[in-house]
Amino acid sequence: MNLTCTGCGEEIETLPLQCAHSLNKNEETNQWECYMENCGIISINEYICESCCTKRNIMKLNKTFERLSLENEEFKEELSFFKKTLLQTKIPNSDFKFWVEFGNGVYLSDKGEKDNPSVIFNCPQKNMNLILEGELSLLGEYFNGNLKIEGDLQYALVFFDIVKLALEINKEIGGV
Amino acid sequence: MCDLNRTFIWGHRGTGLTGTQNSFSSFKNAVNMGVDGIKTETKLSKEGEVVLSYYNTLKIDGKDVPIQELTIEEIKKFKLENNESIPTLREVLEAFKSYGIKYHFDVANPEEGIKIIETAKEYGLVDHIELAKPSTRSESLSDYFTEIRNFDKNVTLINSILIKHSVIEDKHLELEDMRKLNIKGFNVYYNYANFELFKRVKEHGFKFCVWGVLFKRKMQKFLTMKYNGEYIDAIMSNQPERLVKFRNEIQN
Repeated sequence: MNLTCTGCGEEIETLPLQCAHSLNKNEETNQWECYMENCGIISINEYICESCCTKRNIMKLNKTFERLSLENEEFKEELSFFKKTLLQTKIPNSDFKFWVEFGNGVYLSDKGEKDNPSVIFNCPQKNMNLILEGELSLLGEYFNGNLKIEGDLQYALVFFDIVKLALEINKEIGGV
Repeated sequence: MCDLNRTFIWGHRGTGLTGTQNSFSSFKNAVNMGVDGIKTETKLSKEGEVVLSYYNTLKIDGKDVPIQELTIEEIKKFKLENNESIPTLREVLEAFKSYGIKYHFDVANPEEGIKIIETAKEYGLVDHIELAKPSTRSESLSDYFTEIRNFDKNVTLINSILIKHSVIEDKHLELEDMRKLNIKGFNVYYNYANFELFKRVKEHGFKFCVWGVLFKRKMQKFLTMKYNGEYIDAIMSNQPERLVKFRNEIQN
C-alpha cells in the first residue's frame, strides 16, 4: 500500500523523523491518529509529507504572530511604530511563496505573492521554518548563503527582530 | 560619542523607519525629537560631491543607475517617496550647524571618507563627525582606515563589528589595529550586545555603541546597563523619539 500525501498528492517515500512516533486509535472517532510534532494530532487519512508539513508549520507560525498582533497589547503597540512594510518570501525549486505585511499595528501574512515588496527573501523551506521558529539566525543563514535578500537589509533585520519579539512574548504568555 | 555619562542617541537615517529615510525632513524631525546625532550612509556623485543615501543605485527610466555615474543635477531630479530630493552633505551641515549635533557616517571606501572630512572642514565641523566601517564589511581595519587616518590624524573613527559574528571574541575586536589607528570605539548589533561585551570593551578603553535597538523592552535594557557607574556610550535606533523619551526618563 502506498502512503500518499493528502496535501500535494505525492507518494511519501520516507517519514520525517519526528512523525509517527505516537500512533493511537481515537476511540471517539474510531480512527488512527498520529501525533506529529509540528502538526499536532491528525488522522492518518490526513497524513502529509514533510514538505507540506513544513509549509503548514510556516503558515501556522505566521498565524500565531498575526493573532498576537491582535491580542497582545505590547506586540500590537510595537508594530504601531513601524510603517506598513511588505516582505515577500520565495522558496527555491518550489511554487510555495508567502508574504508578510507588518507595521501600523498589524502583522498579516498569507500564501502567494504581492507586488512591490520592500524586501524579498529567497530561502529553502526548512531553513525559513527554522528562522521563524527562532532556531536559526537570519544573519547566520544570510552569511552562509542559504538566505538571499533583495532590497534593504535593514527591513530584513527588522522583520527578524519582530519575529524574535513575537516568539519571546508568545513564550512568556505560555502560547503554543 | 558620550555626553556627561548619558547615553548618546543617534537617529538612524533621521527618524528611522517612521518617515522617509535619509530625507531632509526626516533629519529635521529627528533633530526636533531631540537626538544628539544623525547616523547615515553616504555616496559620491560623479563630480565627487557627498550625498546622503543608503542605495548604491537609483532607478531612472526603469534602469538601476549607480549614483557615482550621476551628476548632482541628475541626482537632484530623483524624487524620494516623500517627493523630496536626496540631500547633499553640504545642505545638511549648513542646515543644522547651529544645533551642535553630530554625524555618524558608514563609509564605503577611503575616497568617500576623505570627501566627508573635506566637506566637514569647510564648515569647521570635523570634530562633529564620526566615520565608521559598516557592519557588513569584512575587510581588516587597517585596509579600511589607514588611508583615512593618514589624511586626518584626529577625525573620530569607529569599528562596526561584522554582523556575521554572533559571539564576539577578542580576535573580532582587532585591538591592535584599533590602537594603532586610534579608533575610538565599537558599534555592536543589539542582538549580540550584552553586559559581558560592554564590560570587556570598556576595560580595553573604547566606547561602546549598540545599534539597531527597537522595542521598549530592549531600549530599557540598554539604557539601564551600567559598568563602573557609566552607561553605554551610545545607541542607534530606527525609533529615536521613543529612545530619547526613555533615556530622559531613565538617565536624568
